[in-house]
Amino acid sequence: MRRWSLAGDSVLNVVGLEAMNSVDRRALADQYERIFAVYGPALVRLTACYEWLPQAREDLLQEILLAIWRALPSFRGDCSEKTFCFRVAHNRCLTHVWRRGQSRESEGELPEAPDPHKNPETLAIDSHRRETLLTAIRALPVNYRQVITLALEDLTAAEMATVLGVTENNVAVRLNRARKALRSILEERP
Amino acid sequence: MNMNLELAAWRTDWLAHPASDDAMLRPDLGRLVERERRRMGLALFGELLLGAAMLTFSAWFVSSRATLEWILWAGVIWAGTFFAAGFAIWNRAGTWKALQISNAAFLELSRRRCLRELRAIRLGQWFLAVQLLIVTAWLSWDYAIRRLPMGPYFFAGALTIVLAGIYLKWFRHRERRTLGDLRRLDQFVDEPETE
Repeated sequence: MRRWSLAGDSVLNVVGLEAMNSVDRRALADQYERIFAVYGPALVRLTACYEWLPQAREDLLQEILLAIWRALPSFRGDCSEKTFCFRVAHNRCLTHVWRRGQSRESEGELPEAPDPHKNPETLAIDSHRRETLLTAIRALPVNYRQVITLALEDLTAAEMATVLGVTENNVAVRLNRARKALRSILEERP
Repeated sequence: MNMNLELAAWRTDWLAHPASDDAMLRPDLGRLVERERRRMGLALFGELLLGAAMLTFSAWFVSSRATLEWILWAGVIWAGTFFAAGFAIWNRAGTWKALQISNAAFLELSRRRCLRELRAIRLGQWFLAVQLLIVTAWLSWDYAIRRLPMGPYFFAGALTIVLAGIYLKWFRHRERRTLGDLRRLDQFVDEPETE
């Protein structure tokens, strides 16, 4: 995977962070680098659930990263970096779906990278299963899609509640419904 | 299948999705931020320029024709401009979108923005109606006292109607779009949370 990094100190200048001292600026840049290194793959998976077309998916990913970068200076540690990152990403994805409406939705595929340790038949089965799961998640209503992707990223109920802004009980109810819906879709599309 | 096992199996498939190099291409954040800042700056500059142009033009015009009628006209323009600017500032207060807030709070904020947009659109329509009333009364008065000949009177009347029609269509388009946004937002949140 290519390593993500800032385009340079000019970024800090254009977002109006000139007033920060160089230590703070470097700390911010380091924090951003760390966030991307840890959560970058999760963000890529998330965008695949909200945008079908590769080019649009890349744009969405850029918008999420930009939003994280802009929100970072106001991050005061009132939640974990993980929930902060997922909050920004999910809100950005929601805005994306909201603006786009439902009319432009179309099917697409995630790019695949072959694993050299598996034989072609196993690879094909794995790939088919992954695509089926992704397609089924895409077919879920947005509020189910949110909770199921958070659960698949292994967030705890408390973390999901923080991201979604609901109680843990509500998370449990929503997740239960999302699982039923996902199972039902998967059974229809073996 | 056990629910936890089922979720674990899905998670294994989910996490196995390759994060491709293509999708992870490094964006030029500086360019994106600059583009966004330029867009916001242009919108703000446009609003300020329009207000300043109206105030300057009316002040310049009335300075060379200091009659009661033109002073009244300039007064209406100044009052209207300041009222519109004040309303815009008041209407936008508290709607700045902070993306790091929770999803529920973000949806609520997005909803509030839509409602504020609708309020601005409705006020704009009233504002247009008042402007139309003033312009029509003014033109008719000029025509009645024979200061305005029939040709220019009807031309000015027709021009006013056409411009008002364009504005009204634009308002309707914005209203439809905002109502559509609200409907879509409600789809995201319209879910009873008890089971």
